Amino acid sequence: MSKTTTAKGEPMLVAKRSLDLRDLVVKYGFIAVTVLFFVYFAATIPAFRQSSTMFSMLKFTSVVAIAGLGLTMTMVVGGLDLSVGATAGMAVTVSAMTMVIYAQQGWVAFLAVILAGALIGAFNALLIVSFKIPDLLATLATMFLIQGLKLVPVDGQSVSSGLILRDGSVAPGKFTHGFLQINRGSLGPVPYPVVIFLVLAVVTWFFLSRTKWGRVMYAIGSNPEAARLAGARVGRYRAVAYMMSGVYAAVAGLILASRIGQGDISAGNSLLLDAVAVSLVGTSVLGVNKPNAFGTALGAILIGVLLTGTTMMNFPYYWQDVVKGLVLFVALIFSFTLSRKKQRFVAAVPL
Amino acid sequence: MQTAVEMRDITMSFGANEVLKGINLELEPGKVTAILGANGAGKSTLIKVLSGVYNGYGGTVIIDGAAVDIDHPTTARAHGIEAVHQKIADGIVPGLSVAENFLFEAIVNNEVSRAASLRSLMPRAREVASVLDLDWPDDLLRSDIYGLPIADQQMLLLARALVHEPRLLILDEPTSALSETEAARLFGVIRRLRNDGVAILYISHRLGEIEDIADRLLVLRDGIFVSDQGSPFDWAQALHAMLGAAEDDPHERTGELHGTETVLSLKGVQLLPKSAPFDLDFRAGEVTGVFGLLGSGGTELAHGIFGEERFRAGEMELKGERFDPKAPADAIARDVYMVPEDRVAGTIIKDWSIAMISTFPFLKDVSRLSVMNPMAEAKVGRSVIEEFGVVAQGAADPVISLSGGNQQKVVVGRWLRKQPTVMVLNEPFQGVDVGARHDLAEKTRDVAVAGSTVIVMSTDLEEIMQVSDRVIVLADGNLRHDAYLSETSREEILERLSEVE
Amino acid sequence: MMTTLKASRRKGILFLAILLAFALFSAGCSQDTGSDTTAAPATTADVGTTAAPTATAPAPFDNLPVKIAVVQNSGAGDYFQQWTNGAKQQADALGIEYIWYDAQADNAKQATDMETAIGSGVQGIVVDHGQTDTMCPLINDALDAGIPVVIYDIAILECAPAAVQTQQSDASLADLSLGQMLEDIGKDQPVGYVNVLGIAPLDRRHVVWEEYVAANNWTQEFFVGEFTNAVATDNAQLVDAALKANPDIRAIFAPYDELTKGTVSAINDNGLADKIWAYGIDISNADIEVMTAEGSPWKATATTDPNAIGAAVMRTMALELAGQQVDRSVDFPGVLVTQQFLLDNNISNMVELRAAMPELNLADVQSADWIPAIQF
Repeated sequence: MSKTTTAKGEPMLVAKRSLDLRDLVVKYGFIAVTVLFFVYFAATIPAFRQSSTMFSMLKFTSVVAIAGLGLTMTMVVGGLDLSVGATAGMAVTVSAMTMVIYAQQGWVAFLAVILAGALIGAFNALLIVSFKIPDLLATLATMFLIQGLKLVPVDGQSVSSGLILRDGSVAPGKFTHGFLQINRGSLGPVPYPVVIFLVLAVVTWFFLSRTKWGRVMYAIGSNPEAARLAGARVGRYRAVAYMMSGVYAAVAGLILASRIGQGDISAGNSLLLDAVAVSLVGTSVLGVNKPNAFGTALGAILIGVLLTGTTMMNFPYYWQDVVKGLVLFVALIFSFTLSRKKQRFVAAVPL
Repeated sequence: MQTAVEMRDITMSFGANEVLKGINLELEPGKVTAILGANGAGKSTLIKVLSGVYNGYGGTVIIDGAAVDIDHPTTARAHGIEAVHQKIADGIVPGLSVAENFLFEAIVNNEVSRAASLRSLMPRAREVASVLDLDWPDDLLRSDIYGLPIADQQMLLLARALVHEPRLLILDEPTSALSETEAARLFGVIRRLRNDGVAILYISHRLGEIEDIADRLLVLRDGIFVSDQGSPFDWAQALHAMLGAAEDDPHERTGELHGTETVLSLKGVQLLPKSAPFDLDFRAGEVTGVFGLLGSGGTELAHGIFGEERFRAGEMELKGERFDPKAPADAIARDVYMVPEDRVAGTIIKDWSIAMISTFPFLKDVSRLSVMNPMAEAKVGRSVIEEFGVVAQGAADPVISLSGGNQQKVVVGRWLRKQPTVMVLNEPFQGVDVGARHDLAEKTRDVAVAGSTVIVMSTDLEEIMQVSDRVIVLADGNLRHDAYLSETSREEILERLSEVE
Repeated sequence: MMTTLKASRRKGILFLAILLAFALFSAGCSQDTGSDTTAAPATTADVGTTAAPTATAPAPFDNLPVKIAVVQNSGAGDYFQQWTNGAKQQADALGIEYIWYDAQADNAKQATDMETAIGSGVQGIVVDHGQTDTMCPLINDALDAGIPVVIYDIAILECAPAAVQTQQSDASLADLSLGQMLEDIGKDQPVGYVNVLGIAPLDRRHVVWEEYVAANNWTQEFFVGEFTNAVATDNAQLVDAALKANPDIRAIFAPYDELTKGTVSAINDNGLADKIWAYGIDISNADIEVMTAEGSPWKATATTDPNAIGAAVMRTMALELAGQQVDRSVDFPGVLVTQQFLLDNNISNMVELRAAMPELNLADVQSADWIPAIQF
């Protein structure tokens, strides 16, 4: 925008459509960075060019991305779900318990996990909506609670086939073939986790950007008072957002469980920070400066590209965290420093 | 008698907006001077000029016969001017003890080390407290400030101001957070200060308090004093001065509407903690204006009808059926709508376009199976722009790019286009230019003609007279008057308002 | 009030974002413990000497470089750093190029690392630690794709019989350490136990422990332990709590040096070093320092040289690639190191220990005349 003056001498605002470097950087900078790195890695690392590398990269990304999509929904309503990692971890233990200890079919484990995710979300919603505990604090408490609670029925042990139970007997079941296909199977060349990720990304994007529910959720995140005075049932929407976040985290946990093939008690531990990171990175994609599904998905893929590339270039593992940190810094600079729009979700996070 | 502080021809402008247009005032020691004025009259600007918050004012402030330049709060303090501002929360420092709050200025000025032990602070804290004979035990001084009752926090701020032995003490709405007994305690202190020869400038909306405590009453309107009287006060005159003279023809009305069908009935409704319950009917096909000064219960009435907040007591009937909205959504489901008094906090969502704001309460209209239809949405946006004469390039314009008046047209228009059963407009003309105000008033009357029950809350009598058929007067939450405009007069309305209990 | 609230909210998220960025960043920094050969600090990276090969190398080593991937469950901790160091030096000496994946104890990440490795077109894969259930199907995927796999310390003999499984002989290590413990405290004693089950080598050590407890009428007063990315610190906390409840035990068996270190620090923190002794498995420079500290309760450990093991595993990979590896299971024997031995010989680091205990060096194990074996 620049100021010009009309014949009458009144200042008039004119939209300057031609190249405004800053706007271009804010809008497409992130995508450009992603593509740049991708091309660089593909050109320098032969192994990176393999399609199998692409799919295993996307597969690796899918867990973080799905948890990030759920988290994005809570960010849209002005909150933040810090329990996503713990919920995914719990999903791993619940899957293992259902199949290994109770010798149930894979689909029973699947349902049990989804139900557990929804229940955790409902519990978060109860704390936040009914008990009025600030989001960050409530979900932090939930995180610790379920991290610990999931260990109670398994005596703090990872559940794998052949586990000796408390009464001395051997656990009768094992991870079923069908359940393991969640991670190992594929649709044509596309692994199921990538399919699940892409489907959920599209569904979430559609829900948030194209339905009236998404519209109301963004309104709540931006100005909950205005949303309430326009007739939105703010509490219900926030509850739904947290329940969906719980379910998404549970889906991420299902993939993890299927990948690990046992009830690894440390699974999901590193998921939270990664999911928060991709969601935050996502807010700056396309310069929209609000949490959004497309951005979260793209942010996850960008980080996936960078991690795969740097690993293949034999950067030591600790550079992965440096890479994530730098990506986040760049994203925050796009959002806070370069962008002319005000951060919308920022003001809405209650502390 | 020598004046404590004299102001000569004080002016203050913000850009092109001249807020103070030449204030002349002599404040005498040992007298309480009260200032009454409507919102935007310039009261808070005047206080901020006097206490050094704003500099760059025009005119002269004279103290002890010499002109002084009050360019900073410390200068004001050096000249013996102390102000206790309306918001108590702005004065106290959370997380510190009561004693540290007493000594906060000393701590800020490094006269007392923040790291000093609480015990070493106690004697000095007690010194400050003794200014007001606040004989608080050590336990209380040691405790966190948040545990202190609000009235005691007010006393603490007052003591902090008085420790400098000011010649002029400015009190801005000092009782707004206090109960009646707490206020009585404050008045005791004010009387004592008056006897000690302190000049006191007292700003309040509460006529009863001014009657009680003030020796002189000034009315501020549009940046100048329009009335100046000594006790006992002629309240009707003061309110006239405050609210302005009657315009010849407040609105070109096609005729006063008299509705017949009672749509909304209030039964035994109590608005404020100590107000009396009353019954009130609102009728379809007319505009009912609810007039009262700030804090007289109009907002509580609006909130109660819209389900935003429950009434203290009483119930409602809508079209003969029980009406008990627990949330705005419940009210909207019965076609009872409200435009809130604070447009920005209550309606505006940053980044949203005119179309999005317009359709927000009724997304069902512009979606199919819950999927938004952008075309339908743009159409609604355009129709609001056209019908209400919103000055904008198109429905996709961000709503925050609009002027206040045009924003208000959008947020009123989005409800009116649905032909409400009951439409509550709380201060719909605040921050709205004259042209937009005229358009909004016209549209409001149109919707009443078409059969809606319209209720308009305002603290501005001009606005009420412009838009209403029937006027309700509220004072301290009590129903004082209820009449059609043709059956009453400005004089009667102001008289009812000014009946000090 | 509203404005301050809003402002504080804004500060809140800003703070969170900064915290997060800082956490990610500092996590990167704080874990900079140097598993990389070139960047490794001198204290942990022992440089070996190379014996010149006496024969020409068979295929594929006639066409260098040979490309492999190493899929490691965790490279953190003294043991794995040395293991990595030994393996990398042997790989360099052999002319092997490697992509090194470190899952940082994240089993799910190790699975995806393995998939990436399989897809990246390498000639062989070394898998270091991991969960049997997680890695076994993937190891079979690699074998199916024609990529030979050498495993270190995962039980896969049954589920992936075509891979080469290597391990230090955990039964012998546990037996050495527990034998010393029995000699020191005798039968019929109350004892504590720190271990994490579900990890192959620790499971194997657990079997020996149970035998010792039963045979010597020891009373196991507590059994704690967890596997995290900060094993020593996190377990110190657990042992501390267990010690508060059971201060009267005589000894604690913690059959993995990170567990032992946590145990030792908990014992010291409770001022029980003169009453309760610790017995471990594995050794490193840092471990020697802990064991020889004045009044240290760590009486004995049984060990192999992780550097030598890492190198031997890499040689096994080379043999497998050359088609010269016949056995599908390879055990590396261990030795007992007592606190007394360290003190008597004034040993303060691995170099001195190796000099004093030539049996630690495995240069002749899993070697061939065409292999430039690394000797530490």
